[in-house]
Amino acid sequence: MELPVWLKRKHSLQILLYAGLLIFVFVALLPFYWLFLASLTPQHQLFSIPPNYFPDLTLANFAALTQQIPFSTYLMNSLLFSGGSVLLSVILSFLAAYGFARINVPGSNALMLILVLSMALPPIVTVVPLFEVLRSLRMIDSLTGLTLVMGSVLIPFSVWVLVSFVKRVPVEMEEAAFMDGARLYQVLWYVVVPAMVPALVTIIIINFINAWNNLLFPLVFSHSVSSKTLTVSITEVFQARTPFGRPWGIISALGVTMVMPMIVLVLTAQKWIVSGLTRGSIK
Amino acid sequence: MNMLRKGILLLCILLLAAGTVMAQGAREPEREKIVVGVGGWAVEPTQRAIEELGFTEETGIEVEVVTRPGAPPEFISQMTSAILGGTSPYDVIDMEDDVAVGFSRSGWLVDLDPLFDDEFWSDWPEAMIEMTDTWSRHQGELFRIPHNYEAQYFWYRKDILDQHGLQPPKTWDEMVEVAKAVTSGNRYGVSDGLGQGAYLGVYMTYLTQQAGGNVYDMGPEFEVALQFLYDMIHKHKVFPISALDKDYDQVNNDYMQDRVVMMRQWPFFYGVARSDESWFEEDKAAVALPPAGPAGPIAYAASWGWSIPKTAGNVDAAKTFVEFMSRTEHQGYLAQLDTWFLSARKSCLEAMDGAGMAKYLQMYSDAQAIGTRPFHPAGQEAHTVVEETSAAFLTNQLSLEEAVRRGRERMAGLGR
Repeated sequence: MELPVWLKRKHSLQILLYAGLLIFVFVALLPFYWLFLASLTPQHQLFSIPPNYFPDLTLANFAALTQQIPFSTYLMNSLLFSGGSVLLSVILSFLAAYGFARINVPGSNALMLILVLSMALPPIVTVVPLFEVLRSLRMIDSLTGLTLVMGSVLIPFSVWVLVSFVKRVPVEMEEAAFMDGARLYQVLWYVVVPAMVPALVTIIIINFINAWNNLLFPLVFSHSVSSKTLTVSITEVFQARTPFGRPWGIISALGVTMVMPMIVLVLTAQKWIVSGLTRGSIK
Repeated sequence: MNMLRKGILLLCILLLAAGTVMAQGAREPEREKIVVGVGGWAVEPTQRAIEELGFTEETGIEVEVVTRPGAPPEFISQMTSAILGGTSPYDVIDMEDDVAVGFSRSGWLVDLDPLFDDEFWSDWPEAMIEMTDTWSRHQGELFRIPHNYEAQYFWYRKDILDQHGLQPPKTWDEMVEVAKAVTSGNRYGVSDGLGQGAYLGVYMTYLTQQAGGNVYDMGPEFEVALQFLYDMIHKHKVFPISALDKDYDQVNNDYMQDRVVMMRQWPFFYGVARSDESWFEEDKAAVALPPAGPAGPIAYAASWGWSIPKTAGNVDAAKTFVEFMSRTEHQGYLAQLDTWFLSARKSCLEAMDGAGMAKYLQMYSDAQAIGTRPFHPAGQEAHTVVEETSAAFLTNQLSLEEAVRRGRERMAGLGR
């Protein structure tokens, strides 16, 4: 039985759409595939011409990586640094966003503008003043100092995003809770936070990725193994064997270990992220 | 009663903690400690040197050897903010030429001259002293003391040349002739890593020096060198154009995959070649003097050396370390420990007795084939001008005259 013309057209369009999507996915995933492949390829096969798409697979690069740097310490530092920065930034930003959204204070708009403008400041120009602040607090080369810096850097963006989400929570719900005798912290915890879960999860993930990938602050403020993060280790591994040769196999292995937690995190929280990102677009 | 018990318990804990701290303090008097920042490749040999030479036993100073960022941009970011903040992550730093020059011009490094007397310098050959004066002194002060001396070597496949009944070339013309004889299919007679961002500039500096000039003058010698490279690529077709996109790893790989017969490379290739046991044979990585250009067979050397930031936490202990590691009697041991410490100092070459890379360093030193690396105060900017000028001509974007004219104008703008 022959399909009607409109159905044929619809099918052709769908095929075109899927073909386009496939090409996009291929282009987007190719670098990841290559990174994973390089991390499992022996060093002497990495530069073969023509490229070897099916090399002998080995975990030697990962083994070499753990010998080259104190991997578990750096990984733990990265997790503590990113986790701490997220915790600090999200809690403070949420409270600040609630204040901006709900409390009418003269000059709050100007304050918000200053906060947003501070995002435009290149991080490098803040490094020297921050260095002096941390030194006076005796927090150079400490995860606490790093976390404070990173947390504060993440706050303006988080506040800016969260304010609009707080405004979308019906104020009547909060008023009803107050009428029932709830205190402010109870209203925030039992009413506002549950209504903002997708937004909060999205901010948590965005901030975590930002902190996880940040090189500048750990590079500048961390000097010893006890506070260095995985991003800093890239600068150490890059010329690990000689000042000239590049150990691409080890570099790829480090790349994989840095990318994997992010992929897992984003895939796990995909539902919340989509919900959080699209909620603002629906009136 | 309950409060009293709690109080006694708290007192016991406090006494125990205080006792532990005091006992530890009594057991081990606090020692001076310094942090030494080196590239990742040098951590292990530096640690071993400190242990085996007995630095801590002799001086009572403990040393923590840590990895500094290897790439200059990250390293400079780290150090700049620390030094401007009045501190330093390292008491002693192992530094390359370019970075050390930049730091010295900013007045950030300690003068090391008082640490070394005339007897110390008598161990140094003239060429190394000249290099040190050019690259490690500023306004008369010694801001870095080199611990190695890395010349560029001319590596060739003796096995392939033997098959063709050829000898390693002694001049540029001979190099072209030999290269023509061995170039076939995917195999090129000569190659190098010429990617922009450091590599092409280094090779042009090398060739211009062989032509008798300083690359930063962009004089007739630079034109001769550039034309020579152009001819090898486009006219004689013995040098792959793809080399313009390659780094040292890639050209090493080409060499070890039998796609290149002759190349210039730094001493690290000695270890790279030997690391692939299934490929390596002595005849596959032979070294000859560089083919002579109009000014003779010359290859310049670069160096790494110890520096102390003025903002270091313990400058005196850092000076003790630098003096200890630079002592004449330690040089032989250090070079035997790792090529990273190999230099042309008399004590070093004597102790090495022609072992490993020392054989080739001795050969180059005896032939007076090691020149001083040309210096430009604008460093990286001048290097970029050289690279962009060269690339414009080599890729047929500009004529030689036009490329060099523009290059000279830009170079003049940088001052000297």
